[in-house]
Amino acid sequence: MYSAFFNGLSEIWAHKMRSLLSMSGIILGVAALVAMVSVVQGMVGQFRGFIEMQGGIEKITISTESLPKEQEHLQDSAPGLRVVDIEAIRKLAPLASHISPEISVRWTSFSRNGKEFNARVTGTMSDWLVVNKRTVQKGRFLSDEDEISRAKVCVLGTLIVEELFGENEDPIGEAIKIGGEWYTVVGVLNQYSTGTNANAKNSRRGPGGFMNRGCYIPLHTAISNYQSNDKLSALYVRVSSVNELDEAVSQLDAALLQSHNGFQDFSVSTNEEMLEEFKKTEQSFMISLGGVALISLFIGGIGIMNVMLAAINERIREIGVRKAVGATSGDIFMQFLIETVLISTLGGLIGLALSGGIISLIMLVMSSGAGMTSNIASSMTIEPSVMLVGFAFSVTIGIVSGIFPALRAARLDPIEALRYE
Amino acid sequence: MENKDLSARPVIELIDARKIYRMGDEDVRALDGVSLKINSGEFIAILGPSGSGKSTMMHMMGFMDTLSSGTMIFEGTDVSHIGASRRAWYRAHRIGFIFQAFNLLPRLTVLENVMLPLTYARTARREAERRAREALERVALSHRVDHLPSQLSGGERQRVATARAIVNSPGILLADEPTGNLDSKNVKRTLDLLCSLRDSGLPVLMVTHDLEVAKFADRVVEMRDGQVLRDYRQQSCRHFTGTGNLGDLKNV
Repeated sequence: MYSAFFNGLSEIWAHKMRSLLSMSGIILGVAALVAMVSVVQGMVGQFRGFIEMQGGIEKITISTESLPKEQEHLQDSAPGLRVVDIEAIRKLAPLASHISPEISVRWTSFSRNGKEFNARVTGTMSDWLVVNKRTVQKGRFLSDEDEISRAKVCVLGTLIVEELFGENEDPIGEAIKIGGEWYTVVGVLNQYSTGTNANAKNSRRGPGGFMNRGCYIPLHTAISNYQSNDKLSALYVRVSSVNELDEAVSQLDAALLQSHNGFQDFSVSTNEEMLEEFKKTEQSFMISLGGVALISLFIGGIGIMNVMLAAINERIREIGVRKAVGATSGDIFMQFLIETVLISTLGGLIGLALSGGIISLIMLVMSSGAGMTSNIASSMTIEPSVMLVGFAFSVTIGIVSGIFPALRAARLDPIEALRYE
Repeated sequence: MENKDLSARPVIELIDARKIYRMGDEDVRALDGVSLKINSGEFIAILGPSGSGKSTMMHMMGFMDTLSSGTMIFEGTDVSHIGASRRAWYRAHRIGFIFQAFNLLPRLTVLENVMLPLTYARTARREAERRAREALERVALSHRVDHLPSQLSGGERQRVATARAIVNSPGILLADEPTGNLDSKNVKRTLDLLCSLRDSGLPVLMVTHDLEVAKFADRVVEMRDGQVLRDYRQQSCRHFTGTGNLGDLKNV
């Protein structure tokens, strides 16, 4: 075993170029496999993070829709989402543990001490924080008292605070002007960021930039200041457990249908549906890219087998000598099998190193892009388990592709082998 | 099979040994009823033209092949019908081979080449190395242990091959045309080495087609068409004082 190992290494070293060429398939296959899995895992990680930032899969979105075909002629009578729906859900959909209605006010000018900034205003209620899995870093979020008293208070996203306040200024209790009206700042939200590596850049751009530019005021304050009716832009609901999701959706459907007098002018959707869709995409990625990597590994295996068969033809006399001095067929079989496994294992190790390089390159290219791509890049990592799988693949291919050449070598007749010129 | 006379037990005994190869539709009788005893301390030359069966006989004695019929007794044991792994065991432990083409492995050093049989005999590495150095000392090559075969002369290569053949303390040394690739000076040296090994009690069986080389042996077996034609003893010319007809060898 020991001497077969060193013999194998010296054979590989003696034919460096040939060994390297025969390894190339395995090198590329392992590199592709590991890099591909890391990229897809980066996407998955990014997407899961995104869903989590959207409130996780316990969050249900209810939005206004046009009426289905059979009710189309009644479009003018369709009520849409209204404040009364909140009460209907509270009564008829007990699985909805938190309800967060939203009224999106158009982008508005914010000003304070001569500084001006454009941001979006959303009217909502205290449950918003829980439904969206957000936290406040300073002060508090909107309360039920703010709602009842239609208080002119607001909770700001980090980007607005950065633009209107100095670095050492505490915004809590300060007054700011939103679209001509004075509001008191009662809280500042934590920075919203997607991806695992939160950084300043992705808090200003993409989804992060959008979310951190939000200002939240009590729902009824928004209605009385910016609207002539009580229509809601959307309604978000949270269930306490993912297992209750399906039942909660049917409860919500029933509750809203009743409150909308039978008009199906709304849709109830879950993040789980998004996740399912994404899983399908992930699967098709895995299958197509994984397929390419596996084919490359397969071809790599055939390449090694081919080179080993040629090498054995060159070394027939050596096999004869080894047998003449006492090697059994088993000894010869192991010698050539070990040599093949060494080639493929070395190939696998080089492939792993290369995959690290490829991923660094992808991260470099992608992180210079904007939004999603840079986020994917930041959540890409090479997991040890993936490397282990890549390594195991290369060893397995070595064994499989080594068996046939090793058997051929082992079966050589020593007399014939010694006569071979 | 029990040997009748254990005290004078031959190292190898062939009894009506036959080997028949099938070539196309024809049977080739490479060995055709050979009976032969080889005793310890004998230096035997097997003489004969090509196709006479001398190499086949050596392969049988070297456990490289099996008889079609007949019996082979090695050191008192009937080995006519043993399997491949048992034959490999005999090759690793009890047989020493020297080839015409030296057959050293080019990527192994002199020491590693000599250690090879011990590797397959599963001898511990340190012990194998000690014995290999000892064997190289016997052929006067201890200063070349770390060289590669390509760095040695033909005569030195054959001495390394001889060291490899004796490293496992074999029961018999089989030499297939050991002088075929050597100049006359190295022929003499190699034959002297074989004679001295014989002197130490190791039986030597040398296949050759060269009458001059055969004169170094103290027994000659002449073969034709797979059969023993003549089997006679002679005084090894090694003991001659220079008056014998040694042809090319007389001046070396």
